[in-house]
Amino acid sequence: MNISDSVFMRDPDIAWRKIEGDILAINPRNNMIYPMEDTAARVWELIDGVKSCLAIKDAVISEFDVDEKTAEKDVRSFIEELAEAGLIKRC
Amino acid sequence: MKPASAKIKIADTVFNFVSQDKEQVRSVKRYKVFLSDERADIKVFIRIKKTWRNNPRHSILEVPSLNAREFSVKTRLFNAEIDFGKKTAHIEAGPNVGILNILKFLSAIFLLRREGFLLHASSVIRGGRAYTFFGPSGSGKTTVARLSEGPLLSDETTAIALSGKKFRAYATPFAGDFYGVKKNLSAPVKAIFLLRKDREFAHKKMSRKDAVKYLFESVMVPVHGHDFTESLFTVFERFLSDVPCYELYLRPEPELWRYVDEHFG
Repeated sequence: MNISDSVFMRDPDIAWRKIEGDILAINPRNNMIYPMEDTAARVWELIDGVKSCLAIKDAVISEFDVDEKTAEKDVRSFIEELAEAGLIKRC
Repeated sequence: MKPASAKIKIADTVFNFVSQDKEQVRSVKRYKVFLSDERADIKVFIRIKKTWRNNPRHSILEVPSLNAREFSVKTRLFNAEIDFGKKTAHIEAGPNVGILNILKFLSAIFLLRREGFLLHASSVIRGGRAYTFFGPSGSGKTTVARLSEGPLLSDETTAIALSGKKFRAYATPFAGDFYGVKKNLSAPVKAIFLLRKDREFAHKKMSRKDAVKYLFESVMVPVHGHDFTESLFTVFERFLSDVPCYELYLRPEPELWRYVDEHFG
């Protein structure tokens, strides 16, 4: 799916914390635990209900040592995973 | 007919169980070590319905706020209405509910309201401090408890809560294969260990992130809801700023306590 212009927000039901630079998110509905590190942790923070996926990808490119093609693929697949797990939803 | 009653104390909270069904009250009285004469903090009325059918899993009617004055919840085995203002809990259940299920549920809620939690963990007192061991089934919780010479708080489920400025570990009646709890004791937590069976003894300090993750895997969650999970995050972070958490690799033999004493005593 093409999600470049899509904007996602974190599901307000999800409880999460930034601990030692990484993210730990928990879905209270089923108590599933989702640890996120490095780029994944940053993408989670950037999903704020305002930034488009394209803007998130650009932020990742500027903050991490990654080429555009890889960043696009990684950001897209991670956002799809998060949406599938019910942690984020399309605005 | 006058209802029967029995008071049981867990982690400084006294529950007074009241029921017309004498068998329910008798089953409370089986936990002699935990019976109490003190003034009750909460009166628990148990109504047994012979025609009871278990609720479907996760059939919570509404996800209550942890700090609400009152809330009602449906678990699989019973319906509960708790009024924290009136200090009452009304439980409706079938004849085979098992009093420990109710007690576990209530304890977990009351602990969380005072910065505490119920953990699948064994705990032992040595030198006046509690050593708490957690991990999945088969990781050695019961073995550690069985091999200890110090007073046992639990071989299976430990209550941990803030008391003053320190976190204490409390005995519970929620036992595993090896019971062995002789007194309703508590002690400040010296350290908490995630158990790993191995050929050699070793340990390493856990990162706070990993410790929080593993605590979430072992904590008893009474009600699934955002508020409860948020509260657990807060209490875990506070707990881990007070108490060190280690991964402990061990062989299930008496020598393990020599290792623990040598490195943490």
